[in-house]
Amino acid sequence: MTRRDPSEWKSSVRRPDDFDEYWRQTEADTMSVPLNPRLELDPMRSTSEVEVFEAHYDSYAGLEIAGWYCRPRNIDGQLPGYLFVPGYVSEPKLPTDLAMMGYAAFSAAPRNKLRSNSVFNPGYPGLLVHNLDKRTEYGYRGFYMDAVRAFDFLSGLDEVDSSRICVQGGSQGGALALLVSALRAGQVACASAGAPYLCSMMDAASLTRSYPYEEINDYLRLHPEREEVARNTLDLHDIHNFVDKIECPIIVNIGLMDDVCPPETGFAVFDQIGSDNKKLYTYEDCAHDAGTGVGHDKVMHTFLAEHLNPVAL
Amino acid sequence: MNEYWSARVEAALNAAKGDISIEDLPIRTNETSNAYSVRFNGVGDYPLYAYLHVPKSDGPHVPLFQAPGYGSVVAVPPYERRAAYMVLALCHRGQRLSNSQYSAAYPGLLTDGLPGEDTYVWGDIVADCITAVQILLQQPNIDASRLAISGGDLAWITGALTDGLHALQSGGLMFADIDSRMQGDPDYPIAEFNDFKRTHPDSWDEARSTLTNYDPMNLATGVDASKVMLSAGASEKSYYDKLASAVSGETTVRVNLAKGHLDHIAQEEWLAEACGIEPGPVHYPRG
Repeated sequence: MTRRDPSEWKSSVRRPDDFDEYWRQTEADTMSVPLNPRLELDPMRSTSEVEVFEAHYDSYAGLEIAGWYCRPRNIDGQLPGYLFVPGYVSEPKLPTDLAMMGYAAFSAAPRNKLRSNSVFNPGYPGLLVHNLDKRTEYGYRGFYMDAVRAFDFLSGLDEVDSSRICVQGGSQGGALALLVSALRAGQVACASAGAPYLCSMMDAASLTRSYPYEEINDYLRLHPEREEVARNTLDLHDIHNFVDKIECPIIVNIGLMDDVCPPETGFAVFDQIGSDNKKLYTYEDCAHDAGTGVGHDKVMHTFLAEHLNPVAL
Repeated sequence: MNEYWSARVEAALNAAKGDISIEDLPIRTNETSNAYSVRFNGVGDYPLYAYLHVPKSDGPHVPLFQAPGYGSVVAVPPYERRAAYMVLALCHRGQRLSNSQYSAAYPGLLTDGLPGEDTYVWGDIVADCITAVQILLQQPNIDASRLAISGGDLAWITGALTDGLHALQSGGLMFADIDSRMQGDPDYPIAEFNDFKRTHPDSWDEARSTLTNYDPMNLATGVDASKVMLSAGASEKSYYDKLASAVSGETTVRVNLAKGHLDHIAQEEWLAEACGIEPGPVHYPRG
């Protein structure tokens, strides 16, 4: 099969005229909700070396959001912070491994994830096309804010050095890492985004038949008359339109045979990233794993540690 | 089959004789396959949901049970599988769409109901899978002699407890080699066992006894599929070789390359060849 070079592909994402104002207002609406951070020790998951807490905070439209917070026991001074943001269908990891590395680690469960889905629960599949025809009520509007507020939660903890916080994730987590780095530019110290999702969304749906983007194909098969409405909604929420604001050192990794988040969209969003200190890692024959099984995890943790200086247990 | 499983299998087979609702699912129907929502009751009259996809091509179709993995979400089967197999993807009790009476927690599900044999929730979860396989086999226009099962632990266990299976593809087994994998600081979900043992030390021996019923090695002699593929991580090969040697059918142990595209292609090609069909259409990259 012949194939076009994915690095030469061009995104068709448009930046809506009201993009900045829409997100300024969304952030203002979110900030009007008190964060109300809560931590409750989970004795069953805590070990002799790591304390595990069930965390909660409030977010956009007043929804309560859950997460896991892990920190080394016997803290001496402030710790670097590590925000882990989750993939689309997976449950947020319990980041005891990151605490063992010396981080104060927070793993967020944005709305629709278990423990954060009592009010908003479009499910999977479902979230990607939830209110797709209602531009300002699209499901990811609040979801994005939940990720940004997770950063605020972590940076507000006394034991966390707010000048040394990273954000990291893969797939949807890769998208959220880019988003938080953009909307908290100047506060995020460094970031790592793997196989980023939610980039050039309408294009991606035409490049693959794998879920979650297949949700868009499914939706438009039933509602072909809504294609332009859907495109307008997605452009307003496309990660591609955020990343020029990113200032921190950042690495991105993609699999060159990724059927879930096509590498074309990864190349395109990487080109748009505003930071001068950015590096793209590409992995031949890898799909949505994006090199994690062939050494990228080590690359990533080395990169983050160089910027954050954790002291491993 | 030991006493622990024989009673559960009997109950699961009886559950498959109950009412089944099959409704069109237009949003997941595409140019290659029709999609349906399947609703039925598992043991204890527990309401369950499954996706069923039927190729639009002429049958009879190879029936494929896509066993649920460890997580709250059951994915719609991949495009290429929907085109090539009559594939049923079950949401077991506790997973989304089958959580009206019980919601599984992650972490938490792996130890839910331990230490007792009768209270460990996985007994009912396995029964859900066995019931679902029987419901798949009740569908028209299938070639039941080519029944295939694919997935992780629940594929292996269901395969071991299902007669007449043709092809079994499995790997990534959580219940494999538990004692050695609990050493050190394992990742979740294995760490769930450590959490249980640390907080319930007096119950661990009983829990460990319950878990022997789920040990892949103890179930291997029940696997009578004609063709078996086991996918192993590089460090797991010796375990999977030993597991394969305990199986009577033609068994392939493939060491994953940790390159998702190549590993996926190899698994899909093996499954199609084992079932005597062409693999489903490659859809990425497009030419």
